[in-house]
Amino acid sequence: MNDYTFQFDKVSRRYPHFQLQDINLKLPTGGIMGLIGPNGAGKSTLIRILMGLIAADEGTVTVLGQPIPEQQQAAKRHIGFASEDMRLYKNATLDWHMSLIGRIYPEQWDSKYANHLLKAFDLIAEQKIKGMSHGQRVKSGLLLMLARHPKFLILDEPTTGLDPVARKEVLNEMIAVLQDEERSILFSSHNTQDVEQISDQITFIDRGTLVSSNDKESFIEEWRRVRMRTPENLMLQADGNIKELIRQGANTTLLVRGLTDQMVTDWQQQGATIQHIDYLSLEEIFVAEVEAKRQGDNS
Amino acid sequence: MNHIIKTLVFKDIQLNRLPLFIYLLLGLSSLVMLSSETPILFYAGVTILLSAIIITGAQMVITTVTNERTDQVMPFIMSLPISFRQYTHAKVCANLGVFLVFWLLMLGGLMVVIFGQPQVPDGLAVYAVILLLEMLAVFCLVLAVGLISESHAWTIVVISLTNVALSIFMFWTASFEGIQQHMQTDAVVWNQTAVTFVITEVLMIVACLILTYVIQGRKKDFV
Repeated sequence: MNDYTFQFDKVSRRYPHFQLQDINLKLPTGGIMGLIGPNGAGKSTLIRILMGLIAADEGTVTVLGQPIPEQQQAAKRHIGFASEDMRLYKNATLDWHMSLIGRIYPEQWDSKYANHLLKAFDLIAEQKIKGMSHGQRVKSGLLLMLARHPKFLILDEPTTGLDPVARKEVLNEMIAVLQDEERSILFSSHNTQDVEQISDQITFIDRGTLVSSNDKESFIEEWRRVRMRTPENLMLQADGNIKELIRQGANTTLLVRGLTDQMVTDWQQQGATIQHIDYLSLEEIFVAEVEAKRQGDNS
Repeated sequence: MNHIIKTLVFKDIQLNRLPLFIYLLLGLSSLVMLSSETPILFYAGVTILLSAIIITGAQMVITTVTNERTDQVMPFIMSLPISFRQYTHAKVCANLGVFLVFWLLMLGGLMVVIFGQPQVPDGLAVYAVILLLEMLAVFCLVLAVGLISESHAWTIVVISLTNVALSIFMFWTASFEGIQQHMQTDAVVWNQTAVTFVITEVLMIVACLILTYVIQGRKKDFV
C-alpha cells in the first residue's frame, strides 16, 4: 500500500503566457486536500497533469503508485474525476452514460448506489444531457464518478455555477463519501467555504506556484486579526509577522501570522489598547497568504 | 484490443447508428439506380453513391473526433482508464471500421452492378476500384487531420478541398490512356498504369495511418 495518494516532485509546465513552476506536493492516503487559488492560478493545469491529461515539462508525478502520464490507465482505474469544464454526450441520456461506465468498470460499478444517487440528486435517468440544467449535468458527472467507488476523487471546481440547493446536495454527498477513510480527495475551488467544509489539508496556489500547503487547523491557528486603539507615536509597519496594517486615526487593524503573547504585551506597553483578537476565515487567510507571497516575490 | 477500447469503439458506432443507417439506405438505393438502363438514373446513382461515401466518412470524423473536443467531452473520455495512444487507437478502429464496412459494401455492390448488368462495361471495374480507393485514402487523410489538428475548422477545410479534388481526380484518372482505353470495353485490364494508381493509393493510406500514430504519440497535451 502506498503512503501517498499522489506526489509531485519538482513539476513544471510552461506555456507561452503561463508557467506552473517547481511544484512539490503530496497527499497522504485518506487525506482530503482543498486546492485554492484565484482564476488562472494553475489549479486546473496541476489537476490535468495529475490526471495524465497533459504532460509535465520537468519533474515526476506519481498517482496511486503509478508514474504519470506513462501508467495513467492503471492509475485512472481508481480515480474519479469531475471537472467544471467536463461535459457528457449531449444527445445521450444519463442512463446511456451509466450503462457505458458500467461496461468500462464492470467490477467497480455499483448499480444500487447509482440508483441511490439518482434519488439523492433528484435526477431522471431517461433524460438527455442536453435537456439538463447546469446543476443537473454536474450532478450527473458526479453520479457516474461516485457509483464506481474510486479510491481517489479529483474534483476540479465541481460546485462552480451551482445554485445553493444543488451545491448543498453535492457537498452533502461529498461528506457522506468521506466516511470511507481510505478514500483520498483533491478538491479544487475558488470558493473557500466549500473547501473549508470538507478539506483537512489546504494548499494555496497563485501565479503557477505553491504559496503554502498545510493542514486546515494550522492555517487557522497561525493567523489572527488584531483590532486595537493606538497612540499616534506607536510605530507599526507591515513586515515580519505583521502581514497587513490598516490605520484609521487611532483605530488600527493588523493581520498577523504567528501572533505571540509577547507581541501583544509589547504593544500594550507602548500604549495600545487591544479591542479584539479574532480568527480569520479561510478566505481571508488565502488572500493574506497570496498577498504576503506576492510582496515577497516583488521585494 | 482490450475491452475498454472495444467499448469506446462500440460507443461511437452506437451514437451514430441512425445517420449511418440512413447513409446505408442512400448507398443501397444508389446501387439500385446504377442498375437502371436509363442513363440519367445511372448518373444520378453515381452521384448519390459518391456522396453517400463522402458523407459517411465526414459524419464519423466530425461527430466522433472533432465534436468531442468542441463539445468538451474529451476530459470525460480521457478520465477513463485509457492512455492517449489507446484513445487514438479506439478512434482509428471506430472510424476506419465503420467506413471500411460501408466502403466494402459499396465496392461489392458496384462490382455486382458492373459485372451483372450487360449495359455496364466490365472494363469500368478497374476505374471504379481506383476511384473508391482514392476515397478510402482521402478518408484516412481526413481522419488523420481530425485527430492530429484537433480542429473542427481544419477538418471541414480538408473535407471540402478533397471533395473538390475528387472531381478533378476522376477526370485526371480517366485521361490516362492505360485507363481510358479499357473503360468502355468488357475486358478487365490491370495494366501498369492501373496498378501504379492502386499501389500509390494503398501507400497513401498506410502513410496517413502511420503519421497519425507517430504525431499523436509525440503530443504532450491530450485534452
